[in-house]
Formats: sequence, structure tokens, C-alpha cells
Amino acid sequence: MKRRTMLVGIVTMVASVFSAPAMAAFPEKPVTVICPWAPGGGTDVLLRALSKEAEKFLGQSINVVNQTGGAGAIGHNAIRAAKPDGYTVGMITFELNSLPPQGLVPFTWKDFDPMMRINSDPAALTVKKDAPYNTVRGFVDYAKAHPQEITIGNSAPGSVWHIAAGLVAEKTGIQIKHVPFDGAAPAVTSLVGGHLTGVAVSVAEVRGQVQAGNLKILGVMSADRDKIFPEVPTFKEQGVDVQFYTWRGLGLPKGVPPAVKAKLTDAFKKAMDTPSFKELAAKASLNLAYQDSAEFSKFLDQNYKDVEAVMKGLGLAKK
Amino acid sequence: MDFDFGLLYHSFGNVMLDWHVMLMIFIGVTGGITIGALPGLTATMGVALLVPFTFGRPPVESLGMLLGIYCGGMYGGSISAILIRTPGTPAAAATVLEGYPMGQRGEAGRALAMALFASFTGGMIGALIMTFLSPYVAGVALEFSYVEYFALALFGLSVIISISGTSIIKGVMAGLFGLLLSTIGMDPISGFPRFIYGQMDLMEGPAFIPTLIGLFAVAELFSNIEKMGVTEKIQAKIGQYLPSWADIKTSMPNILKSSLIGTTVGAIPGAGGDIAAFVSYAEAKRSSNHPEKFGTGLVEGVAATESANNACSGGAMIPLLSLGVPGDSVTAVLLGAFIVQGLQPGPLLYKEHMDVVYNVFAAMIVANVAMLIVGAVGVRFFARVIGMQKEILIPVIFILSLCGSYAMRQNVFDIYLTIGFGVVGYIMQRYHYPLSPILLALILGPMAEANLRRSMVVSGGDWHILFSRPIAVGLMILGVAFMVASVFNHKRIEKRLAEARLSGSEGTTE
Amino acid sequence: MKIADFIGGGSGIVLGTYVLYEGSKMPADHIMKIGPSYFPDALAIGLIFFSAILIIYAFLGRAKGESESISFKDKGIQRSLISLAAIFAYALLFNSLGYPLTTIMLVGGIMVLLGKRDPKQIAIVALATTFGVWAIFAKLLMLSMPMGILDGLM
Repeated sequence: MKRRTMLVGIVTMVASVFSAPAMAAFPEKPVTVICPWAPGGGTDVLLRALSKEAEKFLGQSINVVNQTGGAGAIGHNAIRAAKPDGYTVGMITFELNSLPPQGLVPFTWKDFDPMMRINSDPAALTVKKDAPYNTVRGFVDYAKAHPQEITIGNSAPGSVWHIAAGLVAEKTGIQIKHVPFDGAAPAVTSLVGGHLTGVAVSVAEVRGQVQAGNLKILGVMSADRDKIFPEVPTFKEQGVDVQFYTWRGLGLPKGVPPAVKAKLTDAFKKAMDTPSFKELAAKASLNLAYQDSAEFSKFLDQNYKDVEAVMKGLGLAKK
Repeated sequence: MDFDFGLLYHSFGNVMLDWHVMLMIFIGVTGGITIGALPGLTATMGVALLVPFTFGRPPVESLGMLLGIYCGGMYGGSISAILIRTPGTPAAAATVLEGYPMGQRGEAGRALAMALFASFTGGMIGALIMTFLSPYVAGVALEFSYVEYFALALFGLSVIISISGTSIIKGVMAGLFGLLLSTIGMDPISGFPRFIYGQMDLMEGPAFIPTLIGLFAVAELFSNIEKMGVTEKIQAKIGQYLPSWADIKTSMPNILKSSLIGTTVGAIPGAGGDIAAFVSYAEAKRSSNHPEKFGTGLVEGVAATESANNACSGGAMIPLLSLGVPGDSVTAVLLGAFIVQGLQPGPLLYKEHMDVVYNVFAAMIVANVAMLIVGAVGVRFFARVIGMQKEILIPVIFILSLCGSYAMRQNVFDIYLTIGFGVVGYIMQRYHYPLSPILLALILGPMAEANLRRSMVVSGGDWHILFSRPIAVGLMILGVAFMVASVFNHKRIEKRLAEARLSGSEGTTE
Repeated sequence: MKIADFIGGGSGIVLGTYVLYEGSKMPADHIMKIGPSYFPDALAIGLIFFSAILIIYAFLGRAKGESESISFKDKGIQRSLISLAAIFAYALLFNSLGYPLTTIMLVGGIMVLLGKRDPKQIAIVALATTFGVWAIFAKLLMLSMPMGILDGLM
């Protein structure tokens, strides 16, 4: 292990020596970060806050550019197609793994150089406060007794929360009607108004309404309990082995010199560790889950396989 | 919930006695008016892009600035609508109908002054309703399920007939064309890509802002270039930069009615200023005793649309504050800004941060006053734009339009889209196909389709669900009634126009 | 106006028919009965219907209003077409040449097209517009504009 680390170190050193003349002072001009989602959204706010912190460590200004559209496809494609000189970084999100199985985009995560994972948030099953069940088991029993009535809202067809709900249905053998909305917020509103049975979105999306006493969370689809609602058991604890997360991370186009990548990684990692960024993430109830490039790649590989399998089961994948 | 006047008084103190906060509100309003007036840059985008500046600032300051942008942007949209026939924001699309003919007649100052006055009054009424009635109005938002939204979309579409211009057939054709455009892209329920020809850029359909700029601004530029030298330069009639008492008197009933429509539409999540303005316009035309003059530059038309879209801001804040549910696209971004401040809008905010809620009330009211002041100073400068040399004005508007459509998604594809719709708009306009129905259809099409199909998912394909809910049935009946009334109204208008034509040599409609 | 209405109605029918054809290739939905093609199909039928009425009215001589025909010999139309070509070229070169150069060229070009001949005035307006719009977009709103071949100079 140690030798391997040393080897990697030497290789990096050699590489940096060779690329030194050109890259002597990376970054010598402002760095652009592509956000595939609209300004003002959760991803955008997170990325802008992170970039603002990272500027200090990078010693250059960082411009966030929103290249939106195509359910994230356009922004991801722009990241992939950017010049691999390190001056273009991109936010990559879960959709990178859910668009390819639908046959909607000509790329997969393998066309990117994953830099680091930033956060990973589990799905949760949330229902009206006055629903006649309090556990996932109770919900499943109810659903089995009322097979035509269960409607679960999600944020878009083929979206992360659609897949999460599909996964629950598959594992428990219940029948549900998936109702896609234009984003998670309208789905949650519709649930509060009593027009749906439940939603399978993240804890962050339902936090306000749960704390206000309008909704209750039956279970979270993660390995550990949620930090804000530690009293809510996980699905696994309740005997349903489902884990499902959305994630966000930073990615580079393929072919960025290792030394440059290291510099960027270093700056963004340090930014992630600043108290002000951590505070912002906590306020937005985001679950920070850093992974370095190698771990992140492994994670993406597994995640891609999982997502593809579920989407095939749901009939969402292109045949 | 009892209203706490003491706290409101105290909150006004917080806002008005702190020069930091006042400065931020004035900066926000000025920036908002500028952003709103520039084609392609909307109030939503302005708020979204400036949210990062508020990181680490105290809540009153940052919310004050963002609310300032919100109010200013809503008014700013009318400036370019009146001067260059380009709604600066989608919410000002209906203002083009009366505002632009006024400007062309040399009455830009009068139109701008009325737009400002109506924006202020509407904004104020919306803000006051928000301040005093929030907890009572908020429940409306929760009553709206997919069925009601579908009915609301149908109701909105009934407006198309009122904005059809000379020919209902052509108006309906334009509306259907717009609805068809709105089906381009991924189907909202199954995700199936429709009419995209493998183009990633079309996956979410033609982007709204570039389409808007193309149909209105670029089409108008083409026709300006064509007519250069043929038409005379517009001479501004004696500068009028404040609304006259007579104008206020004729417009007041419309302003009040439109403000109520605007606030109500605003309070319904997912329906914003654009819909409110069109509905108010149609209502103003329907209830007018000289409907045949609509479309020729009527000051009360400008008053109706502008009061509606500004009242909408106050309305949209209601569900945001009391339920945590944004009422329109701007408040959706504001929700993020609240969360960054560690504030979760919704019932909890009322329980734990009553002071913040009241500060927002106070800031919103102050922002409207600030908008009136900044706007009143600005009107005389804006009005001059129209008298500028066309040889300079045209290339500048070209650049603003093309870059504005690029900036939204930073995508050159959108520039091509703008140019394409510019050609389409030019041809349609030449052959008397009205353009506004396309816009209305683009706004309401996705709402109608997605919610109809959502209802069908829930009911398992049973159409009875559409008639199972009272509000929905009410809206549908209202829509049909509106449509029938508009058709009759149109017949009346045609008759009067024909009479006017027969009655003499000076038989114009002005 | 009559001929224009024939063409307008005709295009409506062609567009509607095309949508119906495309719609027939979309997948059906068995659960909720109405699939992706439902809405476009319904609209297409409506469009065909109203287009047909427009044509029938034109036949019966009830077409409304007068309109000018488009003639390519008209000076004004020619100017419009040149401006169309110019903005198309603008979009084409926007990324590669970059915002500053293309914008200066477009502003200058349109001014010349519209009859301005004073080089000093053209230069001032072109530069001022380019800089002003850039200042608002890139500096105030942080929306970056492509610099193209000037990239290295920034």
C-alpha cells in the first residue's frame, strides 16, 4: 500500500515537472464552474457558496456559469466537451447516471474525470401527518389492502425520487401510481394539500413541512439515521432493505493534467472544510459526504449499475 | 392569528431607520428596474443571480434587496414593452398590447407614467393583502390539486379570444400553434422525448425567453428595418411624465380589480404575473364600454396589466411565508435565499421568527414606495429612448436581444432560436396573426397538459375526476362563460368598427 | 389577403398532419389511457379544423383586412433579409470569434446598412454598445460572455 502511494507520488511529481513550464502558475486566470441547473436552485446555491470559499484557496476568481436545460443534459455535455486545461470545472449530479439508461444522452459518467463527491442525500418516504400508519411496514400493509389508491409524487419522470419510489415498490411488492411533478416542491405542496398518498423525496425537501407538523417521515433510505430527524428509523431497520441516495460532486473533462487536478481538488476540499460552508450546508440540511476522485469513481460505477437495473425494472430505460 | 400592529410599527423602524437596509432596497429596486427593462433578463434571473451577494449579510438587508429587485423588475418589464415592443419580463407581455401603440403615438411618457402608477398601486395592494390577510388567503394554495390546475389552465386559455385582434380564427390558430410548441421536449409524465430530433437543446422545449424575444423584439426589428425611411420618426408629444388626473380616474376601477386578480393568481403556486396580467387585460376589455378601442393604445389597458403583475408579487409571497410554498418563479428563488439565511419559510417561521415575517411585510411596502420614487425619476429618461435615431437604436436592441437570449442558458442554440422565432413572428404579424396567444399558450400549455395527465395517472384513466372537485368545475364554467362572452364581445366590436368605417371620412378607431 | 389566407391555412393543415404522423409513432400508455401523443394529437386536430375554416372563409370571400405582399425586389425587404443574414452570421461566429469582435462588427454593419456613413460615429456607437452590454452582463450579473480569439488577452 505504502509503495503504491509512493509510486503515485513519484508519478505525480514527474508529471508536474514535465508539465511545469506550461502549468507553472495554474491558475493564471479565472476558473469557470459549470452548473447544469438553474440559478437559485439547490445545486446552484451550494455550488456558488462552495466556489466563493474555494476562490481564497485557489487564488483566482471562480465564475459559476449556469448551462441549464435538457434535465441537466446540456450542462453535463458542456462539462464533458470543455477544454481539459483545468479552467473549466463542472458540478455533476445524479442525473448523469439516470439520463444514459433512458437513451437520452450520448455519454455516461465514464466520459468524465470525477474529481470529488460533495454531498449525498437519502430518499425518505413522507406522508400526511394524519395518515393511519406510522411505519414503513404499516404503510406497506395499507398499500396491499388498498392496491389502487396509493399515489406517490416525484420531481420528474425518471428522476432520482421516481426511481427511489419504484425501488420501494419493487422490494415490497406493493402497487403504486407514480405522479411526476415539475420539481420536488410542487409534489410536497400537493401532499400537504392531501392530493397524494406520499412523496419519496429527500429529507431536505420535506423538512419545513415535517417540522411544522403537516407531514411525517416514515423512514429514510440510508444506512444511518438522519441527523435532523434522528427519531426516524431507516428502511433497513424496519425490515425493508432499500438504500437510495442522490448525490452531487465536481467533475472535469477527461485529460486534465494531474497536477492541475490536484490543485483544484485541494482548493475545493479546503473550501468544503471551512466553517461557513459547513454552516450553509447544515442550514440547507445537506448531508456532506466527501469522497476523493478514486472513491468517487468507484461509487459512480456502482451507482450507475444500480440505477440502470432499477430503471429497467420500472420500464424507464430504453429497450 | 391576531395581527400585531406594534410589531409592524417596530419592523418599519427596522427597515427605514437603518440606512444600510434602505440603501440595499434602493439598490435592489434600481437594479430590478434595469434588469426588468433589458430584454431577456427577468426578475427571476435578477433575484437568482444576486442571491450569492447576500451570503453572510443580515436577513433584513439581503431580503430587502431581493424584494427590491422583485418589485422593480416587475415594473421594469413594462418599460421595454412600451418603448420597443419587447416585454422585458414575461409578466409584461400583456402590457405590449396597449403600451406599445401608445408609445408609437408619441405618448410613451404617458404610458410609462401610468405603468409606474399602476405598478405602485397594484404592488401596494398586493403587499397590504399579504401583510394583513396572509393566514386567511394561504389556504387557497393547498386546495389546488392537479385537477384545479388543469381547470385554471383552461380558464387562462379562454383569454386567447380576447387578445386575438381582428380575427378570432387566426387568434385561435396562433394559440394552437403555441400549444403545439409547448409539447416539444420531454413529455412531463412519461419522459418520452417529443419532436426533438435528437437535439439535446430541445429536451425541455424551446426556451421561453428566447422565444419571447424572437417573436416580439426581433420581429419588430425586421419590420422597423424594412420600413426605415417610410415611416417618420416618432415625435414625443409634450412631455408628460406623471399620470394625469383624468387618466387615473378612468383607470382606477381597472387598477383595483386587476390588483385583486393579481394577488389571487399570485397566491396560487405555479401561476404568476404573466397569467394574472393576461386575465386582467381580458377582464378590462370585457367590462369596458368601448372594447373596440382595445389594441389601439388605451391607457386603462396598461393600468390593468401593470397593476396585476405587481400585485402578483405580494400574492406570491403569501404561500411562501405562511406555507413555505413559493407562489411563482421569483419566490421559488427567494425560498432558497431564506434557507441560506437559516430561515425555513412556512408555519414555523410564523411561530419562531415572527419578527422576520413582519420585517418582510415592512420591506415589501417600503420597496414599492422606493420603486415609485426611482421610477418617477427614471421615466423622463426612459421616454427619450423612443426618440433616439433608429440607426443607432436598432443595432443596440439587436445586441441586447441576442445576448439576452444567450445569457439565460449560456447557449448559442438559443440565439438561433431567437432568430428563427423572429422570422416566424415577422411573417405572422404581417398577415395579421396575433402573437400574444402564442405566449399565453406557451405559459399555459405545459400546465394544462401535465395536470390533465397527472389527474389521469391518479384516476387510472377515469375522466370523471375532472368534474369531481368544486373549484375545478367552477373554473371550467367560468372559462366557458368567458369564452362565450368574448366571442359575443368580438361580434359587437366588429359591428362598431364597421359602423365607424361607414360613418365617414375620418373613420379611424382612435 | 385571400391568397395569404390560403397559404396560412395550408401551412396549418400541413403542420397538423405532420404532428399527427409523428404522434402515431409515440408509445401508447395502457395505465392512464392517454399517452405522450394525446395532447399534441388533439391540438393538431384543432389546428387542422381552424385552418380549414380559414380557407373556407377565404373561398367565400370573407377574408379580413388588407396586407402588403412580400416582394424580394422591395428595398426594405432586401434590407431586412441582409440584417437576417447578419445576425445569423453573428450567432455562427459568436463562440469562435467571441463576443467583443462579433458585436462590434454587427453593430457597425447594421448601422452602415441603415445608412450611417460617419466612421467616427459608427466606431463610437459600436464600441460603447459592446462595452456597455458586456459590463451589465459580465460584471454586474456575472454572466460570462465568450471572449473567443481574444481569450488570451483577458
